[in-house]
Amino acid sequence: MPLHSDPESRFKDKADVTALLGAFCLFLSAIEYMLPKPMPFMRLGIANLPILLAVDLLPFPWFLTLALVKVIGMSMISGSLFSFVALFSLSGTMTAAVVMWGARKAGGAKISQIGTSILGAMASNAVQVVLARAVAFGEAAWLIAPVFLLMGLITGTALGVFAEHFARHSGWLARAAGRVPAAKELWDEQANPARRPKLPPEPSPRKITSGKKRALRRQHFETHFNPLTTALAGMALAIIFLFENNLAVKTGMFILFMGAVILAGKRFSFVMMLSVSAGIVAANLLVPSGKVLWSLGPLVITQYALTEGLTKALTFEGLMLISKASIMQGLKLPGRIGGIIGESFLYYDRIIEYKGRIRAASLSSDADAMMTAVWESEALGGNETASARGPESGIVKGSKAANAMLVLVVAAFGLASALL
Amino acid sequence: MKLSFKPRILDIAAFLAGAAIVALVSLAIYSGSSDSVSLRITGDSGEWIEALDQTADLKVTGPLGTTLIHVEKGEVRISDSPCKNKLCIAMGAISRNRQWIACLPNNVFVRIQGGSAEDEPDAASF
Repeated sequence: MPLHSDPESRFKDKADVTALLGAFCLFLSAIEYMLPKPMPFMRLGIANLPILLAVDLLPFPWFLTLALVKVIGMSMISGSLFSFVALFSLSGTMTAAVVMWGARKAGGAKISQIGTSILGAMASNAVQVVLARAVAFGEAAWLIAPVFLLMGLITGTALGVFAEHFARHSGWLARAAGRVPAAKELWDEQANPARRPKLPPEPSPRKITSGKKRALRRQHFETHFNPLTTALAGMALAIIFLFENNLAVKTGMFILFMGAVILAGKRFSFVMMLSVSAGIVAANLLVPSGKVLWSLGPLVITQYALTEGLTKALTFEGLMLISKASIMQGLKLPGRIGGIIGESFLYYDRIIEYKGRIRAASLSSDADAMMTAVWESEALGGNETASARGPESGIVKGSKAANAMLVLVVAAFGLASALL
Repeated sequence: MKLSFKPRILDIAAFLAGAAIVALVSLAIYSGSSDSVSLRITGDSGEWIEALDQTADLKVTGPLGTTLIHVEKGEVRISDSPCKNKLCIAMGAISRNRQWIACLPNNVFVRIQGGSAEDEPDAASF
């Protein structure tokens, strides 16, 4: 972890640069989260912008680390680490990252951020459609493939254009890349007149926003359960749930997972769950199979298609629930990646606290100013963050009873799954 | 915000390639999609829709008993039936859209449906 307080020399610390870029990925995905989405599990890809910029900044191992930090960090914040949503995120982001890297290195001077972004976005969306075919929608997934690829083309182009502009003018990027910025490139960072802030309020991972009872349940939960064992239990239960074939057992586990989310005081939207499930069932019904249960003109509801759709929806939502219930705020992942993710969260907090203005009219220069401010403020406040960086075993916290209960629950379901 | 960018040759190539892929995939999915034929079986106890591209033995119960329908490599035939004349078995295998076989005594009707409108005549005689 960086010991020097000089922002210039810290650029050589690849872990630190990765952490900052990771934080911006998280920030952009928080913004993306608030935008209306056509499909709940497939993303626009705005959050890939820092990865796009990092192609020229980081060596390949760190580049891949950044992509991983983005995926894991996002999944931890939204609590979807053990669900299919995280799988979509992982496959989409890693595909985009690898394709972007390859495109840039192969194309050299003949390709800019624009082409790189287009190829990355389309590859990412293509992979996600294939995944949707396997996991949720069945054959009907091909029906949305053209729309989704078109979206990839459009967002890829827009993002690429912005990235190209930003890369040429950003002072921070120039310093991070080891170039001394020419006088023409640098922006006068003091030239931001105070105006109405356009920055949308983002969901801070540490703020408890609504529901006093829920907040109390959550605090209670967090004192008794410790993040690491809860996450491990959640992961084990997710795996058992995923491979459980007995529909009755699966439904029972689903109901228990719902109870767990309520117990943990986490938010979940019933409306969202119903609409996603309806979508999955409807898509599966589009390819009729099995005994005809009901038909009206061209619309046919068949038994096998219905049970397939219901099972897939149950699996999809159930994984989401156990994931939300078992990923706690204080979870620290082990190893180097865990450390960088932790640092990213710290940078993320700084980004949210940033008091400067971000306006659409001067988006690029405002963003550059924000990056610089966050980078430099982290250097100055080095000491306070030290305690949050080291690997924390997390075994000390949490009551013994709670941990014992977790072990029992996992063992019980494992046994039930094996026997039934 | 005025954006300054100069698209390079591979940027344009990537964009055109992307647009071409979108167009091709759209064409493939949205026009030719009705090539998916399926099997529609009607019997006393209900109706079923099954895929042709599977290997399966399907059982349909009727007033006389159970009729066995065999599906394999895109072909369907009645392999066994409790009727007296076994005409349904003699009808052989069907594989194309609009073709049908049936066991009338046992009230079982098997038909291939879906697919494009282009048709062959159901029967021809010379």
